[in-house]
Order: sequence, then structure tokens, then C-alpha cells
Amino acid sequence: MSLREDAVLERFSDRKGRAITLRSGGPGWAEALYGMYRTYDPSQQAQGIPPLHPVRLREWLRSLLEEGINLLAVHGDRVVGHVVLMPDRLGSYELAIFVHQDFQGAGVGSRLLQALIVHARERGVKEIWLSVEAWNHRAIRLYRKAGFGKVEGDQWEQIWGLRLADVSHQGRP
Amino acid sequence: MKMRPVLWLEDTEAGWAAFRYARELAALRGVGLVVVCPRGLADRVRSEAEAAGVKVEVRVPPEAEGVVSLLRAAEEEGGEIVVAAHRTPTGKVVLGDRVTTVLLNAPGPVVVFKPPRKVGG
Repeated sequence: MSLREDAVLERFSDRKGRAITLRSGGPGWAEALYGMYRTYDPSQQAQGIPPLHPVRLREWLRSLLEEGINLLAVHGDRVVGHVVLMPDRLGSYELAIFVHQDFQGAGVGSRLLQALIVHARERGVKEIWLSVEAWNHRAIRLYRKAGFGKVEGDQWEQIWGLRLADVSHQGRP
Repeated sequence: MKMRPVLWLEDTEAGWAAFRYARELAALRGVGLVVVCPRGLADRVRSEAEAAGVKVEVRVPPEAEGVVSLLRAAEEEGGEIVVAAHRTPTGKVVLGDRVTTVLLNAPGPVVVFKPPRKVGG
């Protein structure tokens, strides 16, 4: 993996005392991310992602890393969490976040999401949305805590959103 | 038994991709196609079906009776229903309320046409 593209954003210890580094990641992180998703618990797949088929998984990661804004949570040489913003056709960004099951419940997802929001604002992102299954209470709690509000939804799927435009973004036009 | 595929068409990229799939299915089977869709799509459906040499029957149900019309058509034909799912930019598959209702109520097989990545974005 290339160290050139790594911007370390934050270092902290998770609730189990493990050292975590949050950094932005580009295409050079494909292999390390593949390592995380290859062992990701399939029962925690959300609406068909991450793809189960290894070839589709690599394609999916390639497109996220090439087209999206990606932040990674790294412990040692292992990627343990990943959040991505993918541009939609209307100038907003869709968010997806995954934390490896070995590192869930330790505050990693929450820190990753907060860091992403700051990072996105600096990059001029104005609006973030996401799709979540209505029964995924754990994820919904995370989004709510980060400031997201429910936009629409039925008994199966919901859209949550967060507007960044109202908040000043530090000297940017 | 004629077993024409019955397509539920919405005016999205994923919806039209499902249309092309259903049209091909009908052509391979040597039968026509039934399309349940809003009135505004009827002309395009006819011309695109004709262009491929597939006979099409368009049914335009009143807004509130869309799902019931679809289920009735599927019952009459005895074949499958084709519906489109959508994909978000991160690749999530979104079925939506209506597709889920169709799945739970269909009298026979349902083909949920999932577009390749990006089509729904």
C-alpha cells in the first residue's frame, strides 16, 4: 500500500484499548480493504453490500476507491473500519459504513463517521444521505447520534440525510 | 399456455433495463409481453417492443390499483412477473415498498431485475 496518499486524520484508542488510526484512503488501499471485507461477517451484509463474490468484491472496492471519498480505521497493518461517500447524480453523496465484527461495539464506527463528516465538509460536500434497513437499529442509532435525520421510509427501507451546507466550512467559498 | 411475461414498468433507468430483459424473455419464448405502466410510458413501450418484433399489451391501471392490476395480469397469464430493483451509488440494492409488496403477493414466480452497478445511481 502506498504511504504517499495516506493522510492521517486522527489517532485514538478504542474502548478496548486498541490503537486506531483514521486516515483517508485511495486506490492503494484496495488490498488492505479486501483483507477486511474477505473476513467480514456475511450475516451483516447491508442491502447486498459488501458483495459476497470475491470478484465482485474487488470490483466494488475499486469503484469506491476511485470514485468515492474514503476513510479507513486502521489497527496495526489491518483495516478494521471503512466509511465511503459516493457521489450521486444530483450533487449529493451517499454514505456507507462498515466496521469489522472484531472491532464493533468499541466506538470505532462513531469516530469514523464523525471524522468523515468533518472531512467531507472540508471537501465542500453539502449533503450526505444513506439507505438503511428499517430493522437495523444499531446502524440507525449511529446515524442519529451523528446528526442524521430520517428523510423518508417504509417498513423495509429508510433514507436518512445530513445537510452540511448550513455549517460554515472553514474559509472555503 | 401462452405464458407472457408481465412487466411492472417505472420510468427509471433500472425500469427500462428490466423492460429490455422482459422483451428478450418474451422473444426467446416466442410470445408477447404484458406491460403494466403509467399512461405516459405507453407509446415508448409500444415502439420499443415493436422495434424488437415483440407484441406488447400495455395496461394502464389507475394509480391506486397498480399492484392489483399487475397481480391480476400475472394470474391470467400464469407466467412470471418482472420488476426492477434499484442500486444506489454505493451499490446497495433497494427494493422499495412496491417491489416488496409484489414479491409477497405474486401468484407465481417473480424476477427481480437488478441492474449492474451504477444504473440506479
